Amino acid sequence: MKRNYFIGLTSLGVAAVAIPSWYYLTKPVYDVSLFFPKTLTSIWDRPTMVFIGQEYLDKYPIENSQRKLIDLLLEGQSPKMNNIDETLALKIEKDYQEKRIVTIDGWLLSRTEARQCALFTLTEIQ
Amino acid sequence: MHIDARKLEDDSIIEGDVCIIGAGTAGISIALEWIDSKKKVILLEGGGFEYDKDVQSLYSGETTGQKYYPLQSTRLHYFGGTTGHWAGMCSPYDPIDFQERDWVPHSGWPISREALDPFYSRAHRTLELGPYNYDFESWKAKIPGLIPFPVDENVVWNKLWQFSEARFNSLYAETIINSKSVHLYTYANVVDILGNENLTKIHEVVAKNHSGKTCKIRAKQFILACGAIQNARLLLASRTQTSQGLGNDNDLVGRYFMEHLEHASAELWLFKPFPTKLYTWSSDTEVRAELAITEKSQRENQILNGTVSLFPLTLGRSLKSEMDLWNNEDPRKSAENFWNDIADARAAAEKITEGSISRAFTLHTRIEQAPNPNSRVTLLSEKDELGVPKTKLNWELTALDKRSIRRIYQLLGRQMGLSNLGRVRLNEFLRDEDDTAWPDDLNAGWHHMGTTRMSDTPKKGVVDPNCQVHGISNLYVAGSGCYTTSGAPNPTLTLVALSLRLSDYIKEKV
Repeated sequence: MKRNYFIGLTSLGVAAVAIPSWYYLTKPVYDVSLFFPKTLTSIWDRPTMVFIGQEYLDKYPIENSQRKLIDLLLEGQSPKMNNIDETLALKIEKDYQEKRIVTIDGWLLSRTEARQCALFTLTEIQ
Repeated sequence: MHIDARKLEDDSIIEGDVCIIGAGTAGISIALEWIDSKKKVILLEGGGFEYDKDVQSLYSGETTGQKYYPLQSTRLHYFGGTTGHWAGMCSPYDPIDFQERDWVPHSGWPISREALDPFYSRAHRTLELGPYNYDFESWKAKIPGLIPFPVDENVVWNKLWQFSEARFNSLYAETIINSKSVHLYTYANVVDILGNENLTKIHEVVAKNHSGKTCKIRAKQFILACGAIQNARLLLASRTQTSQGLGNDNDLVGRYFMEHLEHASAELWLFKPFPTKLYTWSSDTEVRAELAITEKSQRENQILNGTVSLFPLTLGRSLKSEMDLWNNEDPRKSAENFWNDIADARAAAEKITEGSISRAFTLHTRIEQAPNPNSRVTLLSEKDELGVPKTKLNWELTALDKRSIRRIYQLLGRQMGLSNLGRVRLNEFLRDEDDTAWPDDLNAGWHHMGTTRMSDTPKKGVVDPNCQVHGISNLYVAGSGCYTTSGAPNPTLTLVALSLRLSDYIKEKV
């Protein structure tokens, strides 16, 4: 899938249904980049992303909430960070450095990018 | 000189200084070293110069354990042996392959890589390879486009391969036939080995053929060079003077059979194209690399030595399992199935030119098998047409084999993540960490090793560091049967090197 098309679809989906209103009341609005791992969009299509996200949630059911996942993704980060893409890329790199790697459907993924998929999946099914 | 043993008088006696049993890669490599010798070398070949189905059928047998190819189809039984259809892939074993590793039971050769280096260099000439140089940096400087993946060199290194086109039949038949020193006897299948009363020295071997002729060959030195399975079979079947077979006082002949596990194990999906000539087949480069795990990382992770090759996933996903394709007793028909499948897969792959899959690769394992005494060659009660008991092979793998493959891809997956080149996906059989089972279609490299393993003492192996059978002063084994561990590379280069080393040793004795 072309990346621009993918991002477009994702943004629409996220804007429409993704984040519950209570979350808006208590937290700032986040960049849509938080909801999908940018690099993986160059090798996966949308159904694959959703599938991987669901597999992750099945494997780690304790993280099966948007709020939990957002908190985990932003753990240690400023809520008002300027460039979330860059921040997440660094977080993913650090995952690989510190061996925070999960195996989902055979894919060897950083914990952060797997959580992004999971968050994307939750936005899709709402 | 060439003599067809079918035309000899029955019960002929042939005498010489050295008798080489088998004119395949090992046997011919040794014979070539004696071309101008004043000694008389007798080179025995069971077949002729072309494929003969009756001769080939002498290799038939049964297999148990992990599914294996039909035994008859795994070797070519005529002058030149399996170089008749080999892929020509050559790379030396690594220093760690020769070392004792406390996480690999029964590992540790009694010789080092350094001891083999001069013979590797000579083996390059025998196999008509390029210079004995496998240093990546020097090849990179010489050939444009050998661009490596930017991965941590402490974990992954680029192990180079060279490619031989040597077919020993067409390449060396004339040289051998024209030699005055080497007397080649075709259609001379050795069926028994006879020694003195205490079996400390061999006197003669008995050879037969389908024409009903028998001959006896007497020599000062005897070299078994029939391939790892047939060497073990012949030792075990030589029971005229000892019920357990020759060199088998410690019940080790035939044990520790090893193969190379060669199997599609994972996928690599690149985020962007990575132009390089380093990792894929190319007709215009002399070398190619596989991603190998460093000695340091092998030690840290307690895994076997293995490498990973890449080929386009569009091709890999269309290929059938070699274990399923190579299913005919006739090696020519099995080979035809194999090549037809590759042609079909290529045609299918050519239709896929777009999408992320065009940047994806099948990751193909090539790994040593851990030495296992229960992986072994024994004899059946059924005999072949010349009266020799047929072979039974029980191919048995261990949990270490599988854990090592899985760990290699976990290491590689992390490196791909760190470099952000792409992501690795494990194939189904590797995903469950607790699963030690193997798929039925697990592929092997058609490489037979370890059945007459080398050791310092007869309690641990069949041959000594000079490839002499322990306790028998003039009987030697040439070839990959002598390997104590199997390394990751294809065995041919190393077996030629080891054969040349043996030849030098015997020259000092005669």
